[in-house]
Amino acid sequence: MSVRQTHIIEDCERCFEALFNAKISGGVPWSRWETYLGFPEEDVLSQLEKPVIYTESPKYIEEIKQQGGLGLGLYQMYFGAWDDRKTGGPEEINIISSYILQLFRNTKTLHTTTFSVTLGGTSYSGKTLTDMGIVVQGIRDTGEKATEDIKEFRHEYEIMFMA
Amino acid sequence: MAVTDILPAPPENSYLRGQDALHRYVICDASASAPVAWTNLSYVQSVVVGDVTYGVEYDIRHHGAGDKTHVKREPMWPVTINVLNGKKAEVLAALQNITWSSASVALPYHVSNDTPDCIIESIFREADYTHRFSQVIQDLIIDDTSQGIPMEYEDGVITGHTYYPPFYVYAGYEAVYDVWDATPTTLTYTLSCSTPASMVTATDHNWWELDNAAFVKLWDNSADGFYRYTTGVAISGGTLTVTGATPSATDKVYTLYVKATS
Repeated sequence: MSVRQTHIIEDCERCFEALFNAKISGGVPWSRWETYLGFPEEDVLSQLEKPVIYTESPKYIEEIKQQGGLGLGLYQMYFGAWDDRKTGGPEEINIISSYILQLFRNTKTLHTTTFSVTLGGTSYSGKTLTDMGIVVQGIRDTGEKATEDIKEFRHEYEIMFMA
Repeated sequence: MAVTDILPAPPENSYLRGQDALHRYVICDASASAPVAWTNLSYVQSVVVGDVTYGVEYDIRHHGAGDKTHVKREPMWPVTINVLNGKKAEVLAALQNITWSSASVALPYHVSNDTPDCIIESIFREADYTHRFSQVIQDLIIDDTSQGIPMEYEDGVITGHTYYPPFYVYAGYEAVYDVWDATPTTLTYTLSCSTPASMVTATDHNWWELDNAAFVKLWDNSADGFYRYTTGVAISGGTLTVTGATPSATDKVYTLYVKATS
């Protein structure tokens, strides 16, 4: 396990961002999108050139316990895709959603996709989620999110993972 | 005491949680060592000792309408150990002292004998891990196992049984297991603790042969079996003395007792 329990929230979020970045580096259609660590406020969103996949901080849900000592943390995390007039229609957000679902529903692909990430000044290269101590239990589509502009399209997902 | 009495609130240490309990074990047929080191048991969700059943239970009556005598023999306590399902086989192998690795990859579901596998000491602790009391399951025999992997998560279940009564151990005390290779010319064996605790008072000797040990047991190599001394052994201070039939050189001597936690 490489995520630090003392920085578990940040480290896990960075790993998922790095996972998305690895897919984006792999070519189309992922390369049509970019990532953002955290929720993109309006000023951030306006600076982005492509539809964005953003990550939000994981939330600790419960302990997978064992008697006699420490347990394993179960976390919930939201991330989303936001196309704010970058393409002009709903087609692209649907493609982003489909690719995200395909990635997270195929547990083998998800846990064997390699990425590079830096945690606390230490660089990790060619690592998988499992290598980093993260195992995803499942994904849920929480649906389309309201936007002020009807030409903007935003969708969010919820994942549960152990770390 | 009055019918209007109101009880005070129970102390916080009345409320124990399983997650604070620590389980550890020794293999019954451990190599000679005094003491045998306990191994902590990880991945445990629960250890449950079930209700005793008796292999033989009957009433003895006689003519004349006198009181009957109820006889209960061959007690057996079922034991259920729930572990995280991905670690069940690992724990199962460990408790039976079976090597299950790349060098020996098969772990049978079937148990072909009814000999004791391990002793489990469950240490019940408060939230700050202060010892509240323990439970010792002596001479646990692991049963045949089964395996399922349903879509929704379920713990792995290991079952076993013991023919000897599990017992509580008071706060501040812990179980000790000493094993020696027998020495026919020497009838005394030095315990690893010079001051074993008094476990039961003479008047509470229900199924107990000694007041300062749960058992003294012999592996009789010529008979290829264990038997518990019921007479002919004594523990005084830190010395176990065999006064009856002396063991042979190929035999082993085992004792389970309790000492104050150091």
